[in-house]
Amino acid sequence: MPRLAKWSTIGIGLLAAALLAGCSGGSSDSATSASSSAAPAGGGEIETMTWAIQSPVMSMDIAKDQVLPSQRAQGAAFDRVLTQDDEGNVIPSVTSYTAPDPQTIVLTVRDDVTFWDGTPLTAEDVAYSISRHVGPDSTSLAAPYFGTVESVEVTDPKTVTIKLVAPDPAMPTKLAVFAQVRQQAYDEAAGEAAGGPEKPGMGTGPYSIASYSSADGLVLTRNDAYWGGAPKAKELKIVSIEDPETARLAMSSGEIDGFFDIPLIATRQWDELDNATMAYVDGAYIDYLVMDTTRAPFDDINVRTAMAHLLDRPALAQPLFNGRATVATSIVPEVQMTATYPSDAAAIIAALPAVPEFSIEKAKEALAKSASPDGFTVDLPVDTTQPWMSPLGQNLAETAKQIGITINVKPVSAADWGAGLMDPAGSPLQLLAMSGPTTWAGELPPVLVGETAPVNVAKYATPEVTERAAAVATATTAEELKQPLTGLLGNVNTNLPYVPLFNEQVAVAIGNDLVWDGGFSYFSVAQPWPMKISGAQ
Amino acid sequence: MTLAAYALRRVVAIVATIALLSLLVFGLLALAPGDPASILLGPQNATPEAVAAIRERYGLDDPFLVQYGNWALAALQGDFGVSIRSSDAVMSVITSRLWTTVWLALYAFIITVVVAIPLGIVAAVRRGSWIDRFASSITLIALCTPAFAIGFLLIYVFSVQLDWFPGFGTGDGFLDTIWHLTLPALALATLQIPILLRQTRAAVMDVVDRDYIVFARSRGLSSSRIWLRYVLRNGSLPVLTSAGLILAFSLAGAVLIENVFALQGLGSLLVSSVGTLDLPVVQALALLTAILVLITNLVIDLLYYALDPRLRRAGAAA
Repeated sequence: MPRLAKWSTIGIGLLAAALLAGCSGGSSDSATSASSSAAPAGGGEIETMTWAIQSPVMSMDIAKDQVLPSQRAQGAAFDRVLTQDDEGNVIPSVTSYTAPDPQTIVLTVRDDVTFWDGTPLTAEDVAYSISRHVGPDSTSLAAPYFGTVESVEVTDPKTVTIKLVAPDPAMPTKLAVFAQVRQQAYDEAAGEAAGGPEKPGMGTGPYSIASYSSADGLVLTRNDAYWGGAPKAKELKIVSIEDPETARLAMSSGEIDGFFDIPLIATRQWDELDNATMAYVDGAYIDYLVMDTTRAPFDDINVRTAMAHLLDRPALAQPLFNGRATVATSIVPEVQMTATYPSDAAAIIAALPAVPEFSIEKAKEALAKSASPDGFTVDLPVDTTQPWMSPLGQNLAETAKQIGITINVKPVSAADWGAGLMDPAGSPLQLLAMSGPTTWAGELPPVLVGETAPVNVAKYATPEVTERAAAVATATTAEELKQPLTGLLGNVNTNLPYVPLFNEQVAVAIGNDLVWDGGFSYFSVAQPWPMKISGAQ
Repeated sequence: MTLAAYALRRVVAIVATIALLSLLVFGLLALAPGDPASILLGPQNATPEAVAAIRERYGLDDPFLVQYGNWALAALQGDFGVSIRSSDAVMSVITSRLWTTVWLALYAFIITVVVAIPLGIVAAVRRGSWIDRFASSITLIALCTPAFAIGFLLIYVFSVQLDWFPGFGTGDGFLDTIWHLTLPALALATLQIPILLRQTRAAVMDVVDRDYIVFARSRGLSSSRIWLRYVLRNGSLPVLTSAGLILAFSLAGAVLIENVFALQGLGSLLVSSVGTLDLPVVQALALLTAILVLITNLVIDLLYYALDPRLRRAGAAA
């Protein structure tokens, strides 16, 4: 799903999926987490802990606000029906699950879970927490993820059964990310106000909400009766700081203890902080150059090949992301590939046709063979909230000029960028940033290509591709997925509707007074993350 | 014309302006490209059913005049609808941000007035002196320095290095709020002081050279009387206008300052709401900002009336 910059505050737009970016996703290939190995012993009590996120929390209800920063805040107070471990595996939370068949999921509610007001969690509450995202009438921003759900029923006082219209191997992950556990009676009494500052919700999580406003942030109080044990910090404050430099200075002066999702381009300054440790982990963030295969001049494979040759991806990864990104080899984020095929991901990737390497000469040759041998002029919209887009666009424009192609880089707002992606009147040349909420390598391809793909910005939907995408979408095992997936990825790398650019990392700053148990994980968004943090001893 | 009649005439003009502005604001935003429902849902989530549900929920499919009428009638009762982004009442969203902006604007305004007016008067009286040159230099530097640079400099010096003031946030309670808002108010005042200082200097210089001042001196009037009754009173009129505009500008939201100091005020709310096409919030903010500016202007007009006998005489003659 297209995503806004992780540090963006504007826009809800694309986020629904997008921003849940961090929410789940790829494997847990923790790149350079200095925090875990060299960190002091943890376990200490903390009086007050202050974490910063990049945008105000507009609602504590995940159905109304899904941007990544808000999910960080929501995750401190509200459990999810299931959760993920540090490797992205779905594990029990307030419920455990079994899948008796590919189209059925049975959730069993724990006995010892109570809401903050002391009332026990019931199967009805669990069913409510899921079914509010289900059905054509649902106005939940998470509703599209639950399109495969046919029914959610309480089948006995401790059991909820979910029936699917088709196999959906990602459904447990979706439950871990989106099925925020909320008390049905509270929400019904709150009505439209549910999730807002007056009625933020009744949850079962490690912290209850002492105060909340979109302006001042949140003050959370430790839930001593939490079923998972009491967290170490007595009080947790979550504030929003939009400017990363302000956040860095606040970190430097000790006003905040941690900051999520630092723009990679700004991490060099953060690396120099002496009272914080940076954690960098691989995430399922991936970027593409997209060309509309149905519109001239990009309906010509030679033009697309020329464009791919114009990008010096290895050289750009360093300046655009401070080296915190790797060159993408296919349209699937590397972490998803590794998670789905732990033993042979490298071999699968190596067997794919390579994305054209940087070569002005080869670009010129390809263009000479095209229907536009003398070049052409095209706009390239760049989202100003995603710092890598504009410089990459400028770089591409400069190299393209050498072979007669004029690219007009147009800075636009995040909302306009998102709206222009699928707009028939938009530019046929786009930059796209996506993220996947699961660890499943088959997640993104059917979203990007094929007749029914919802984010087919390239309009790439040949019969062969549509067939392969359908096979990828319905595969339920890694083995079943492998053949259609590799065929599809090979096809895309050859025909280049999408030029895979970069796999981005996620950066988090953690105060040296704190210890994040096991190191920061990309999957922390779907976890009650404050449970992992204790004072250094 | 009495003060009451003068004020009434101004209020009627303001009401008419607000009515016109409300139509313009509503119309222009309705014409803005992009569908809020699609932006809210995102390209992948924007299925026809989901878009239709959102559009129906927020009345986006009604004819323009029906939408405007419904909105205006509700707005008259203080109900600006529900934020598309947060589902909260728009007034609740705005009031949660309003006080941050009001406190910041007033605090910066007080600093600006206390620094700029005396310095401007002294610079005018001692034209060409070191203090005049000093005032000119610092106004030039302040005018050329970007707001964010001033903000970060203040944070670095007074928060990180000296640890005197917090570098972000608004604080709780009166004193804590004052403590938290000191650096942002200083940053904002740094941008405003040059404008008011130059205006004050120019106004005072203009007045002290007038014949009636020379005549007053020749009549042997005391220096304090000349300054208070003649120079400052006459010089205050353009200064008052500038001060009013500065206050109105601050109340409209000092976006960059709010961003640098992570203050959730009206400026940052407007920026984020425009980015997400949260039309109910943008409409309400645009209108409320216009009302704030108009009310500030009204206050300035009334002060003008009180200070300038020519206005009163013209009113009486009419």
